Amino acid sequence: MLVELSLLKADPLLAIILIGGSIYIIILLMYLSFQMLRLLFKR
Amino acid sequence: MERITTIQLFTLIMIFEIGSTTLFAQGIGADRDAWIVILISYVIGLGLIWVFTQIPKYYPNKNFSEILTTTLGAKIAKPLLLLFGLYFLSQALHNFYEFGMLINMTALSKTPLLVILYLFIIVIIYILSLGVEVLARTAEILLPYLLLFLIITFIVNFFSETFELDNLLPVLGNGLKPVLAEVYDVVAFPFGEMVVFLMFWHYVNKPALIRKTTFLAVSLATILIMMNLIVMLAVLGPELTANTEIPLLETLLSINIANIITNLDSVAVFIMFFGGFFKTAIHFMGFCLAITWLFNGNKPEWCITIFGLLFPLMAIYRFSGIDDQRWKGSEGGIYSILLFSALPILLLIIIFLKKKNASKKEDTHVS
Repeated sequence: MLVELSLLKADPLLAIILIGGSIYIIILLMYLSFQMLRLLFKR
Repeated sequence: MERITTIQLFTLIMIFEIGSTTLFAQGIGADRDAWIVILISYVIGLGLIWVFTQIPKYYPNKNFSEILTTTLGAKIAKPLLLLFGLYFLSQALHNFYEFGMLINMTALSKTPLLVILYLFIIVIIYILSLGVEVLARTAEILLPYLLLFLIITFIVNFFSETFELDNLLPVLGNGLKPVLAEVYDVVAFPFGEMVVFLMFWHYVNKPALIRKTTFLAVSLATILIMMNLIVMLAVLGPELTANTEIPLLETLLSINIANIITNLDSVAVFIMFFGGFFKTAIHFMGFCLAITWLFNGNKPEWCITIFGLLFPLMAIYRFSGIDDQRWKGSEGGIYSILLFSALPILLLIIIFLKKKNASKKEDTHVS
């Protein structure tokens, strides 16, 4: 693991940022692939 | 609406980039080749900054919240804005606590930390509640002094007996591997931290010049950071530079020119204070703007005052000491910076695809 669990426990703000940021990376990647598909299949 | 000139943007970015980097020996894991780490990271950092400055080109005069809402829709944009706000808050707390603590350690050792932090934040609240324009003008006034002090530091060190340029040799003695291992750290700090300026681009009076100004400011700041590192390595050597709490201070304390020019620690405190002040203020303003936009407001003064007064308490609650702060900063903080500087890359690709989709739609309508 890149970040130790003890660090996330010791710093809740950092934990929120890191977990939230990671979730958003996934959401944006999904959004991005959706946009790409739209671009590919739309005439 | 408030506006800042490109010169003011230049000064803000310069102070922000120099900011706390003068305190650390960036990329010191690569030993005497730390300055090469800065050089490589600068090239990658320019790519990141290109992304940050490309977003306002698609939406000139729109603030970051409006850009997010237009691109992703309110449901996805609002939580993302809150996350960005929390990230700015986290960075502001790091800088705030670190500089408060360093001033406590170096200049005001008998003053309680909370008093220093409150004095620090009252000035920040005052300046920020007057607006971004006032912050930018303050930077415009203070940057020449900061540069003057930094350059004096370099010159005085150069003529000092302790200056040994041989400390930097051999170049790449351990190969490229340790240099490359340090790169991601330096890309994040200070180049990735530039992500906070996404909150300020819409204030610039000439949006067309944002990229040029930013590249110029970052390039000049990088030269200064590199010179600073070379001076530290030449005076202290790689081992001492890596193990000293504040290398800049040690470097200045070691200066002795003919027993006349000595004890220049006040210069280091000056450099530290202004760097820390602006880094904290810019991140804190980023947080307050994000919270204000989240509630569709346009006056961040209330947020600045309320959170500002709670700020020192939050900093003391979050960090138990300088070691704790540095542990949290170096272990987790770097990842948070990398994460939040990667988000705009995805955002930019989405904007690009959406624009392309829209233009394709128009083409089919015309034909």
